[in-house]
Amino acid sequence: MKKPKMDVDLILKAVAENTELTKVRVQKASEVLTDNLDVDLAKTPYETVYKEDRVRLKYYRPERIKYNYPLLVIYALINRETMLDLQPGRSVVQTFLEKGLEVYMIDWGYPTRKDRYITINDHVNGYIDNIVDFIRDKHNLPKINLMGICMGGAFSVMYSALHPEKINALVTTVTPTNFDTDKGLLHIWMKQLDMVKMAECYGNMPADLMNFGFLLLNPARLMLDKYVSFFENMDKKAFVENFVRMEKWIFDSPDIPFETFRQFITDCYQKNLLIKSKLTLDGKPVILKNITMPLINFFGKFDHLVPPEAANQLTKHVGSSDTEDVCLATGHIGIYVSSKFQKAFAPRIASWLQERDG
Amino acid sequence: MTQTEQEQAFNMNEWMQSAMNLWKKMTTSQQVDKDFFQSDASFTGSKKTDQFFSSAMNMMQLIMSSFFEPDNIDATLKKTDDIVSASIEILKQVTESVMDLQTQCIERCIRIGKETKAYSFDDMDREIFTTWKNIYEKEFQHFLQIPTIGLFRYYQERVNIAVDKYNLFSEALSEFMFMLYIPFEKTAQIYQKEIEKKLAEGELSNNFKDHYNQWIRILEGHFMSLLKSKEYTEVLSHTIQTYVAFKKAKEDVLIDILQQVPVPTNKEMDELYKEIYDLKQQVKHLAKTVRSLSSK
Repeated sequence: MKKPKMDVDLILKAVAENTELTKVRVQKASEVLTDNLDVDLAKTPYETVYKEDRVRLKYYRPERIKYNYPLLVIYALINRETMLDLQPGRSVVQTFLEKGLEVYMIDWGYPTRKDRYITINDHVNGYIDNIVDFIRDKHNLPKINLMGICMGGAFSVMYSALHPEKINALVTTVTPTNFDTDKGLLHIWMKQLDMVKMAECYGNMPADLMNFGFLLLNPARLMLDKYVSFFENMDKKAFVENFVRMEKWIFDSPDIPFETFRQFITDCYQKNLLIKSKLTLDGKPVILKNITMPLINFFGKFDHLVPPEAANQLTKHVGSSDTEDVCLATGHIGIYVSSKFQKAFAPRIASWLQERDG
Repeated sequence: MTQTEQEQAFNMNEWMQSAMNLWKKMTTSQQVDKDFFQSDASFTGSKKTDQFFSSAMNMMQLIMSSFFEPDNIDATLKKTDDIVSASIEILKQVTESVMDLQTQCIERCIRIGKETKAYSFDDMDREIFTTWKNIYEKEFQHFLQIPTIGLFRYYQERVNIAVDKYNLFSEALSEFMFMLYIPFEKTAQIYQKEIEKKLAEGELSNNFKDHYNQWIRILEGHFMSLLKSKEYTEVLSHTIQTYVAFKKAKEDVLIDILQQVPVPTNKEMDELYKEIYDLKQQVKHLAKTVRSLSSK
């Protein structure tokens, strides 16, 4: 039988070439890494117009205001809202400002052990309601537009159901509202693992643990391949800057207040009360049929954190007749930061709001 | 025995009496002069030590005098046998206990050996963790669960609990880490077969990047299968549970240590935070009420 031939000389030649290339790359990379790198996030100027406990409200003013209703953006309690203003050319905030839309964005801050007793109700009927009233008073308006992202979207849904008279239009993006699905690993784990006990022994749900959990969702790509790709491209300044920006954002995570985390896991992930309109906040039921304002609901087809099955049920349960589902062929974060979807996402929202600007 | 023989026989009592008198004279001669303490001279170097030495000598003289009284000597000699017998008995008991403990250890080792087959690695993958857990729970854990006694019993108990929980967490964590290793092992096996197949077909690429991409793709696939599996979720759940238990036990021990340091513990701060939170809620509610009343 003929023995398989291995071109050892070719392999050795390839190794030698690769070694030479690597040497050149490392030399260039050391110049790039020690150079002045532009890795700052959220460079769009804003003004802090409201403060309450650890919560801040940022105000972004466009050069020309073309909308009657300002937009309040509510980000999730996981990671930071700076993702919406990642860099020039990939900034949802910048796109809104270019369209003439006034943007308010909630900065949830960094909870400490002191905040462990703050509930979902405190966030929704406390901070968010106070901020909405502040904006309404400032602009002398009865209503404003509301946009929620991920868990912030869930809060926006709860708020709109409880205070529909204050909201002109609602935008939800990658928002989990139906938790009765096994499509995403997060949905499986949150039902079967006692994460509430874990959070309780730390006081709040620690950000580091959450980050580690997210990495475990795809260890091969997120813990290995990502950094292999970095080493292969670390001689390219633009790549390094983008990479470092994303790294800064992804690991900039606040803790989640324990009571909020407990209720979100128990009432949403485990009992799925939100989509059933059985969730209560401070005794008040959150009835989705009360959402009568226009609603546009974005979700990602390849979202492994909020799969389509978790996000696409909302429009079927609200009372509004003006609803729209938009499924984009991307993942959880790609919707905001992918250059491919910069034209499909934020401009779409801006034009949708323009049509409902009164 | 004749009367002469009796008279010539060794008279123990007289001997003891004379020995006693000798000792008395010796101890008396060593008795410190009453006027000694009026002078500046010091026998030991300091007056206080001299006083102590004097008391000790007088006590010894008292004991020696009473010891060598004929009645006391008789009783002591009679009791000496009892003391020796008692010492031998104690030594016997101690030796028997040590031998017993040794026997128990050997039996324990035999039991451990029965749980694992020597040099058999067929089922050692995940079973080793179950085996270790069984061995620990059956053979070692009960030592940490022995009831503690004494003034510091609660502290000792908490330390024992922390050590126990640490051991359980170590086992769970090892099993979890092993689970994360399984995809690497499987990927290596499959990738090796792929290489052999490509080599046989003469299609082996010289480009490292192609090999890497293929390897990472296979690895990702195995990880996805693992992460969705029931076994993984069970192991992860078990790891989290044991970690939470260990953390709580560890914090209980740390709180005990912190009691010695003037810093508040998390438990005390949580009580304070709760009070602050409740007060803030009341204030916010009242402020809202006042605002709505004043707007009317």
